[in-house]
Amino acid sequence: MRPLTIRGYCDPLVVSPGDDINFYVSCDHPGEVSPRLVRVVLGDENPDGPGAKEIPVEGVNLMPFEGMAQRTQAGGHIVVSALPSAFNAAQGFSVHLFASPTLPAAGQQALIGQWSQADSRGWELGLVDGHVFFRVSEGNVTTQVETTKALFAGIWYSICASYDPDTGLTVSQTAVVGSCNGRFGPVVDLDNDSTQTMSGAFPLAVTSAPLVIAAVAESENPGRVWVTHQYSGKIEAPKLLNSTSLSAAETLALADGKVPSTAVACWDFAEGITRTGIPSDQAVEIIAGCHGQLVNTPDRAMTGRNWDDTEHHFIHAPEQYGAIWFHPDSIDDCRWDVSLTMRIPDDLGSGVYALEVDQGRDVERIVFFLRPNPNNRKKILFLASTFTYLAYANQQVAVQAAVAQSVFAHTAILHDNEIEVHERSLEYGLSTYDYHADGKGVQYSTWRRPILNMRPQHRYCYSTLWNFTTDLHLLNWMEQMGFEFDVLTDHDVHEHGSELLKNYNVVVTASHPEYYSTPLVNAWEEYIASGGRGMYLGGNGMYWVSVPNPDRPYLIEVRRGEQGDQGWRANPGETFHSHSGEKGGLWRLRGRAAQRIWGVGYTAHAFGTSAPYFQLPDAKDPRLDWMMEGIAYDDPIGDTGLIGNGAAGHEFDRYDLTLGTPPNTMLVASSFGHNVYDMVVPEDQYFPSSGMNGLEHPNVHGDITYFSSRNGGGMFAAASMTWVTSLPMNNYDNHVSRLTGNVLRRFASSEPLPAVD
Amino acid sequence: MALSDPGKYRDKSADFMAMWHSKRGAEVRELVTEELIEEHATNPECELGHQSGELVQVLNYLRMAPTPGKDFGYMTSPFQEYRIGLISVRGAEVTFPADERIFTSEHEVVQEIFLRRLVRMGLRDEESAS
Repeated sequence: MRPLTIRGYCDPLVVSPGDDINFYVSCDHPGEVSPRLVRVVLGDENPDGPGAKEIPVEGVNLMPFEGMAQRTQAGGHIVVSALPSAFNAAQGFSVHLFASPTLPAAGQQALIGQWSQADSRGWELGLVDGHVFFRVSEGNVTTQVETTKALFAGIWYSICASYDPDTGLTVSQTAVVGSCNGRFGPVVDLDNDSTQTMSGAFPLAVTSAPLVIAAVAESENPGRVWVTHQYSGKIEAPKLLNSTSLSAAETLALADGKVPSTAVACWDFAEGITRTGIPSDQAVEIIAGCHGQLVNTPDRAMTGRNWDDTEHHFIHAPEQYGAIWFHPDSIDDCRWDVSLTMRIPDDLGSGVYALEVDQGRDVERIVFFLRPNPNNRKKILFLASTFTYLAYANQQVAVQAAVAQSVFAHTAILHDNEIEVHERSLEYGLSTYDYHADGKGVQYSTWRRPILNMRPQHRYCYSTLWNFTTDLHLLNWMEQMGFEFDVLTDHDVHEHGSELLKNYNVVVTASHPEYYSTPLVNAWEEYIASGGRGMYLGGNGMYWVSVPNPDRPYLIEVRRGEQGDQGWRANPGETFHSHSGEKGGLWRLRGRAAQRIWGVGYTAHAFGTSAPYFQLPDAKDPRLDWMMEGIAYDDPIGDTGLIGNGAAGHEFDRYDLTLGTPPNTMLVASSFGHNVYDMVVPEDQYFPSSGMNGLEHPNVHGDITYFSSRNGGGMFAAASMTWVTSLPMNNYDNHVSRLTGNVLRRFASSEPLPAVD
Repeated sequence: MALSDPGKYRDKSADFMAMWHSKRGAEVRELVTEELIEEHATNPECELGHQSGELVQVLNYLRMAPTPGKDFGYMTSPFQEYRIGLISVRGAEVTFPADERIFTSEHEVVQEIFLRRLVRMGLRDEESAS
């Protein structure tokens, strides 16, 4: 393979004219990096398409900079930079926490410690090859005691350790098995408790490294804290006690969740839960105020050791949600040094841009989105699916999952970016489709890392395009056809709502606007309801609930619910978003199916081949003559295309009055010709049967629809992810292009849309 | 007797999977004929229409196999040049077979992967493949 040697990201992802944007670049080889600003038009190199296009931006003077390798710290953990003055480890102490390790036998993992790995100084409570250990050291001599019984994965334990400089060390584990808090329940005859003591006088040298939860510091070096021995699993209520030993009664009380009077610090991970969730990256210490800083956003709002299934929403029972789930492979921010800051020219037009950084080996294109000057808006808005881009960022499950090739009905065809992400997973982070090392679904994603599948030339691993790279076909087509447009993003509409959309005669979606927040759904509903015009030119839109972090917009959360076309499913009791307290899952199952706003909603996927649309009687309605101009009734629409050779493909949506399609909706055309590999979505399967495939089941089809709303507004839906990749066929002279152009011209005009009632 | 050592307990679903692969593999092997291989060569990804039920069954069996060691196509030059590689567990290096064959279309590489998988999964003898 051809390894990538340069990579980068920017912050923010979306900017306005006059803003500064920071670029963070890491190079495997030191040396000068040449930057260049380009406007991205199209990246698809498919020889059957128009070819990749980018336009250098003149007049932006970017100076070369010195490239260097930048390190990424993976792994969720908590850093506590100051401990209570009442705590002096060298004089003896006890430590307690609850832990539910998910990979207990995976080498050495730290639960909590003030330990410097480089110097072997301090103390640490952790796991080694499945056993709990507790150790103290003064640098040259380390004393360690281990329990004798290995821990079971996914089971909660109350873990205590005590240190007396004169008498020695004790460590103990007590299983806390409930009916639903762990992998198995009380029917298992478990004998897994263990207590071990090492007697003697053992010195402990306090390190200047900070106390870390779920990892330990690499060294005492001041500045940024680098950690090692990252932990997989849940931790709840870690606490430090000013007592050099624990009685049996005290140990029992700790296992029961009591905080003894000798405690000098206790981190309560449920503290801070409100009706709007717990989006904070702070771990509250409830005794002395020695709060901890969460790094790499471990999973919050997780069921604790006492979760009993009586409440599934963490805001209603925070006392049962005291756990944080840590993962050694989570990344929320690479935290690299800034390589280049660029001031966006005031006169630069709205669009998709990239900073090209080149060291003469390979070229990295760091994509960002530029908002319009608010005093110079176009009539057409393209809404980039930045939430969805983040949900899929650096996705690996499509390569990794055994069943993925069956889902896609295709042999994997990889290229350099896919292999790079696969081999260097810990440096790129995971998508919300992937699994952490312990099998837990990934629920957070960030733009503060290189995102290789949001690059113009990227190809998805099943020899196709996906999301951003598909969307560029729509932007390229609008340019070719002479439509002027602005670009805004999900993040903009999430923040400013429908008022932002109302600046435009028509809002055009991307090809796969799948991940939507409540403000985004509300904005679309208010916009269409008040006379706006929308063109839904994608498939599987407005499907999963997603929530950006209110304080850290680069971070998005997805809690997958009990149903849907999903890479993973949230565990029982963990389906509500930590960022907002909202229920996760499908918008349809929250009473807000996409049909209610866009007229159609997700019905089936067909990743191998695509199919054309065939017109239905409404296409002949004279009220739609403007839409069907130049398209004979018997002509199929979209019988060619760059993805699967058809306009109805990948994922598509259907008209359904029972799910809220407006009753006056015109059903213009529907697809036919899907095959046995294409499937009905799970939420429609109820009783799965053998015929729920594209060859046999009528739900496997996409629908082209149109309805008018009030004040001259309305909505057109093409309802397929591959619609826009049919646009360039036959040099843009085809019915998908014709129909899209007819609608876009009409919607962009100031004339009210023809009413259909 | 109480349970105290997690190391004593293995996941016995592996036993079922071994039995399933043995029995299902034998059924699928019966479907692999020269005609079926020819059908895949001409229509590997349904671009010429529906595949036969037999080919669908064979492809589903191959595609659902565990990921480690699974062949994939590697596009070394976009739409012009392909190789075959082996997927490993996440974070490990991707490996490439020693024979280093170069294919000039996706069609060719997909067909070669199909043939290799048939042999590796025990659905076709190596002698008849060569």
